[in-house]
Amino acid sequence: MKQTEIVFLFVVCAAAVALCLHGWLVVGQGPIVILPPALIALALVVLSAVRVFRTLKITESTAEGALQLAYWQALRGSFLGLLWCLSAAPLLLLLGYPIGLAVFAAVYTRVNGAGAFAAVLTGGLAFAVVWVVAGKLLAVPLVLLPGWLS
Amino acid sequence: MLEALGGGIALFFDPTVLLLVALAVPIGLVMGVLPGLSGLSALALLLPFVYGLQPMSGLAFLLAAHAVVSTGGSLTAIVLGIPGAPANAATVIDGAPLREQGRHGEAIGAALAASGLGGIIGVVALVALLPLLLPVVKLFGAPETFTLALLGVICIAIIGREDPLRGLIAAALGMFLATFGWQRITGEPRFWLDFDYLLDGMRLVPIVLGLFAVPEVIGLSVEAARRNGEGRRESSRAEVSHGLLAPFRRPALALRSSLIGVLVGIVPGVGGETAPFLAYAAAKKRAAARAATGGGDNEVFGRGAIAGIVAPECSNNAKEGGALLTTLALGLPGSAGMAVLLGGFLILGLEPGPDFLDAHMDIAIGLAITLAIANLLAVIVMIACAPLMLRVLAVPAHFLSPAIMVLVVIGAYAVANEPYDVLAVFLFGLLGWFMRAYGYSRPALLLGFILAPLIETYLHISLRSHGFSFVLQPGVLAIVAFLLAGLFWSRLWALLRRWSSRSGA
Repeated sequence: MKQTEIVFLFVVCAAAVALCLHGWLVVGQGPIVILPPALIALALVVLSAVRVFRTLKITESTAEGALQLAYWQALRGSFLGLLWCLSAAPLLLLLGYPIGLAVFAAVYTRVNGAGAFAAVLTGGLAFAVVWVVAGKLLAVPLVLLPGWLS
Repeated sequence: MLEALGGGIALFFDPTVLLLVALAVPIGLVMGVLPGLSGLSALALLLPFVYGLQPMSGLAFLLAAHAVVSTGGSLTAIVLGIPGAPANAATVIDGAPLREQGRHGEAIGAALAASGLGGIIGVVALVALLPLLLPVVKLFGAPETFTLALLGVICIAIIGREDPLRGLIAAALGMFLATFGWQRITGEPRFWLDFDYLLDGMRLVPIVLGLFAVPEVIGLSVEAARRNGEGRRESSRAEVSHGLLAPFRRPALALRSSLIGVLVGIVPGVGGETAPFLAYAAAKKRAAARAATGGGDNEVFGRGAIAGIVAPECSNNAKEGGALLTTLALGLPGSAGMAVLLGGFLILGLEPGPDFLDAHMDIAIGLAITLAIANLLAVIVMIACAPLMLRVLAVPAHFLSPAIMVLVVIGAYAVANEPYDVLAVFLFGLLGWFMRAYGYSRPALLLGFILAPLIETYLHISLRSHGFSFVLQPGVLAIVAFLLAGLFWSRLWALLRRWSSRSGA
């Protein structure tokens, strides 16, 4: 249950940061437009980081909690770890892949002669399968890395 | 002021307003009677239907429904021993023993009269304090409004939650969601990702319905399943009539409890559940003190004391008057329900904040009258229809929940005939369910969403006119000091008491 909250916070932060970066670098919006949401996104990242740290600290007594805390401290101490937290990677993993592949599967089957219902069904199936796989991928840094670190 | 009073009375006695109030009161009462649904759900469900109405009509409709929810909830608290609304939790303490003793009719009467009386005292306090706040809010410029709105969101996110951090995260998320769509200052669209729906930004109604109605409907099913098989008890009119006199036999208790309610309501962000418990605790303490001196009416709190019904019921209706005061005067909602009501302000084209009172004092007075009349009407409706209201509880949740969900979907779609709004309701419903499960404050998210455009605009104006030195304006410093004192008053009070006890020794 605690991991769900951590993943939620990662996704929210990553989405906020990704949107701000998109607005600034891709759309080329000026500081007056992008700075207020960027400051809010920064506040979100900082508050979420403190929340995650506290959550892991509470579960430190359990074996899993201790490993996760070790992982978090390692993440906090490395530049790459920080980049992972701030990047849109969790969002892309969680939403981008399933939606993109589902749309691709639906369009592909429709173009190749399948009916609309069959195409939607294929897209839905692709979404469900990739959602599960993406969920596992997202859990990699939270579940496997502590093992490696220990 | 007299002109505003006349204007307010004229606004209230408009036939449309009267009709809408008469319609809203039974809806609010039914919402209160059903455990699992609260005043927030009532407001969320009714919010889409105020589009196109005159501001006074729409706000009166929402306020009347919200204000009477706890009156309806008292019935469930006494008859079933389950709080119909969160604000009725304290009523259960003495309501359940009174039911066991077969005095539930008297308890219902006492609860109804106390609710009505508390509501009226709350309105009197509101009308008395509004003119005092008017000269203060007239001094507010852009820096003061910005500071008040920003710190108000932070205070509301922090106060009243077990984990302030989760409240702050929710508020920040709400503020971020508000940045989608056209920016007010430059007119440039933000985060629309070539998706036309996002050009106008996130719409308020799907957010409110998703955050507050969808999780509550699910909660209703769960609660209904839990109370499955519980019987209900009938009560005679004579017993109810006897109970109706209870608060008038204890005028000091009713007044004191109502004032506690008003004060708690004024403090932004303190949950509606706090006031009844504070009033109950104060009444219990006073009864114990009187019993020690040989006075009092020998009622034992927690074992079926009518005073234990009067105190919480007076305070939970009176708190709406206090909560409405800060909502109208400062744009800072005193309770979660008032945060949704602020959304109603936006939908009806009114901007919440210090300017509101200056420009629309007549609407403020009209809303105060609405609050008083709705409370009285609720008592009359409940006395007449209490057995009928109890029958609502017998409707199986598997009929009720889908019916309410259909209302949610229709409400979301009807606002702009936009199918994506329906999708948004379910996405925000998911978010709302998650927030409820993990203890994230949903009102904080909503308030952040509502006040973020105001904060951004006034920050821009403040920076343009004063530069960064606007933070040193006397008004800004005073607001910061006031809100910090409010935030840490309990610690300050403890320090002062320790200091005074040391100096006394």
